[in-house]
Amino acid sequence: MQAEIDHATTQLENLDLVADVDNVAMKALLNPLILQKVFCSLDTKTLKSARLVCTLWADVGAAPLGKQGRHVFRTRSDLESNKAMASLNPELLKNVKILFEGYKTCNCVYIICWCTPTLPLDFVWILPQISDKLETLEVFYVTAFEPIRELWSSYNFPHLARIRILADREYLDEAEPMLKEMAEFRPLPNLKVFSLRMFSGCRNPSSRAQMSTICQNLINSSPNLEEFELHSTFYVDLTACGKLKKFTFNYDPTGSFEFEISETTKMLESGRTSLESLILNYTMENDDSIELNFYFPNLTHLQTNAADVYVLKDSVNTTNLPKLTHFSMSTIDYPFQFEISGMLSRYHLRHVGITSLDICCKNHFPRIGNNEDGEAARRLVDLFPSVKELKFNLKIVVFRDYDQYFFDLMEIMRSFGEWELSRGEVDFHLKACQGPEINDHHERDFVSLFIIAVLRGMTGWTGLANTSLKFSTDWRRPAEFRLLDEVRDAILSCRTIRSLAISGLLMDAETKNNLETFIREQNLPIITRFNN
Amino acid sequence: MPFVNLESSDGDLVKVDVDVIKCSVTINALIEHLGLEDDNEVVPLQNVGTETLHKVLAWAKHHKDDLPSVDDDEDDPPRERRTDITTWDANFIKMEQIQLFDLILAANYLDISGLLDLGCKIVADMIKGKTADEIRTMFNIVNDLTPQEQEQIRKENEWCEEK
Repeated sequence: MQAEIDHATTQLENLDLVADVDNVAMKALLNPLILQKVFCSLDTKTLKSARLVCTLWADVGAAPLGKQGRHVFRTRSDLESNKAMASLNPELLKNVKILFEGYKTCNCVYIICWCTPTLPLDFVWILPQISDKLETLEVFYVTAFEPIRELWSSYNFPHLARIRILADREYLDEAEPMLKEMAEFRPLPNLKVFSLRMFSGCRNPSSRAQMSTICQNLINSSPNLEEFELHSTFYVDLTACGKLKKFTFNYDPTGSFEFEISETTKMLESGRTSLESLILNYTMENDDSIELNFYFPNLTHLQTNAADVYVLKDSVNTTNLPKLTHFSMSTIDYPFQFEISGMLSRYHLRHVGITSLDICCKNHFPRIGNNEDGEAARRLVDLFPSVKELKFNLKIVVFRDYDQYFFDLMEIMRSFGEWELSRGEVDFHLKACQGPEINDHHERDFVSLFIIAVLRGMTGWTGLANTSLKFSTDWRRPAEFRLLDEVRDAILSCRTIRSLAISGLLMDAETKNNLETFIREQNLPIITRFNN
Repeated sequence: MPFVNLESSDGDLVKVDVDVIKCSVTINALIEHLGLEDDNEVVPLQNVGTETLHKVLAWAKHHKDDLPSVDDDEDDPPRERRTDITTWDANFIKMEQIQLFDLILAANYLDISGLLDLGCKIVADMIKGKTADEIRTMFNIVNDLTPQEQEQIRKENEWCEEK
C-alpha cells in the first residue's frame, strides 16, 4: 500500500515537474526577444519549420528567415511568379536576387530572348512594397540598361546595404535605343558593399560608356560605401565615397580597349585617403607589364593577383605605404615558364612594416639549374625582413631534372627560415598538365624525394607549431608514395609542425601500415588521403 | 565599492564582486539608480532565484576578463555571428531543461548578452532539424495557427531560398 502511495506521489511530483518545465520553457519561448536570439542560431530549413509552430513563432521567425534566406525572381517565369505574388510576405523580402534570364518576354524573333528591355511588371508591383526593407539586391545577367536605370532612379532603398550586379552579354541593349541623358539616381545612404562585374561585355564602346555612367552614378549616390569591387574595362572616380575602405579592381581586357595607366592611377588616387585594402587583378596574360606608382597613407592590405602584370616597384616602401602590414602577390594562371623571381625582378625597395606575406605562383615552371628562385627567396627575406606570417603556395609543373629542382626548392625553403616566423601555411600542388613519367624504380621515389626536400628546407623554421604543410596532386596517374628512411628522418626533423597533409598519391597496403604505425608511435600530426 | 549584495527572489543575500557582475546591464543600472555607496547595500532581484543566481555568478566570474562583445546585434546576418562554444561553457551549460530556461530568463532579465547567447544557442541546437510537430511536442506548445494560416506560411517559406 505504502509502495503504491509512494509511486503515486512520485508520479504527481513528476507531473508537477513537467508542468514547471513547461511553464518556465513557455515563459522563455514565448518571449519575442529570447525567441529572436534562438532563431538567429538556426539554419534556414529549421527556421521554416519553426515558423509553423504557432502564430508568435511565425511572426518572430519572419525577420531572421528574411535575412538568412534569399528571394529569387526570374524574369523568365513571369506567369508563375505572378501567381505566387499573393503569398509574398514583405517582411521576408530582405535579400532579393533578380535574374534577367527571360524566355520570350519581348517581341523579338528569337525563342530565347535576352533583351529584357524594361523592368518586368512583377518587379514594378513588388518593389514599392519592399524597397524600404531591402538589404541586399543582386541583379544578374543584365542584358539591357533600362532596368538598372529604372531601379535606381524610381525607387528608394533606404536600408539597402549590398548591391551586386553581373552583366553578362557581349552587346548590351541591342533591342532598345540608348537614352542620351540619364535620370538622376536616388541616394543610397546605407550602401556599404557594391560589386559590378561585366563578363565578356563592353566590346561595344557605347555600352561601355553607358555602364560606366550607371556605375559612377551609383557610386556618387553612396557616400557611405565601404567596399567596392569593379570588374570591367572602364574606370571610375571614387571621390564621392569618402569612407571607402576596400577596393578590388579587376581589369578584364576584352575587346579593343587598352589598359590606361593614367586613368587607373587617377582612379586609385581618388580613393587615396580612405583606402585600407586594395586588390588588383588582371584576367588575362599581358605581354607588357603595367607599372603603377601610388601613395596610400592608410593602406594596410595590398594584394595583386597579377604580380607578373602589375609592377609596383617604387610603391612598396614605407614612405608610399607607411601602414602596410599585409602584402600578397600571386601570378596569373597561364601555361608558360614562370618563376618566383619573375614577380620580384623589379622590386628593390625594402618595406620593414610588412608582417604578413602571401606568395602564390600558379604555374611554377622554372628554368632548372640556375636557381633564380633560390636567389628570389633570399631577396624576399631581405626586402620584407619583418615577416611573421607566411603563406607560400606553389602549383608546380616539373617533368625533367627534378633532382635539381628539389635541391633548389630546399634552398628556397631554407631561405624562408631566416624569418622569425610565428605562423605559416605552405601548400605544394603538382599540376596535372605535365606530370613526370614514372617508369623506372628511381622515378617511383619522385614524390618521396619531393617531400624530403621540402621538409629538409623547413627544418629549423621558427613557428613550426603554427605552420601547416600540404602536398597534393591531381595527376591522372597518381604517383606512389614510399616511406623511405629519409622520409621518416625528414618528418621527424619537423615533428613540431602543426599539420602535414598528403593527398592524391598511391600507397600499397604495407606502406600504409608502416606509415600508420610510424604516425602512432611518434604521435605525429599527419593527415593522409591516398587514391588507392 | 568593490562588493554588492544581491537579493534573490527567494530572499537570500549573495555578496558579489562588482567587477564580476559588471556584465549585467540591469545590475549596473540598478546600482547607479539606487545610488549604492557601501558594501552593505542590497540590490533586489525579484525575478532570479538563489540557485539560478549562483549559476549566473559562476558564469560571470569565469568570463569577467572577457573583452566586451562587439557582435551582439540581432540584425547581423546569422552566419556572421559567432557560433563556437568554448569547452568551459559547454560543460557549464550541461543542466536540466528547467534550469536552462531559468538561466535564459535570468540572463534576459539581467541583460547579460553573452550568457543569453549561450543559452539560446543550446535551445537552437535542441530544435535544429526538428519539424514543427516535434518542436511543439518537445516544449508542449499549443498550435494556434489555422490550416489556412499554415498554408500561407508554407507558401511564404517556399519563396525563401538558401543563400
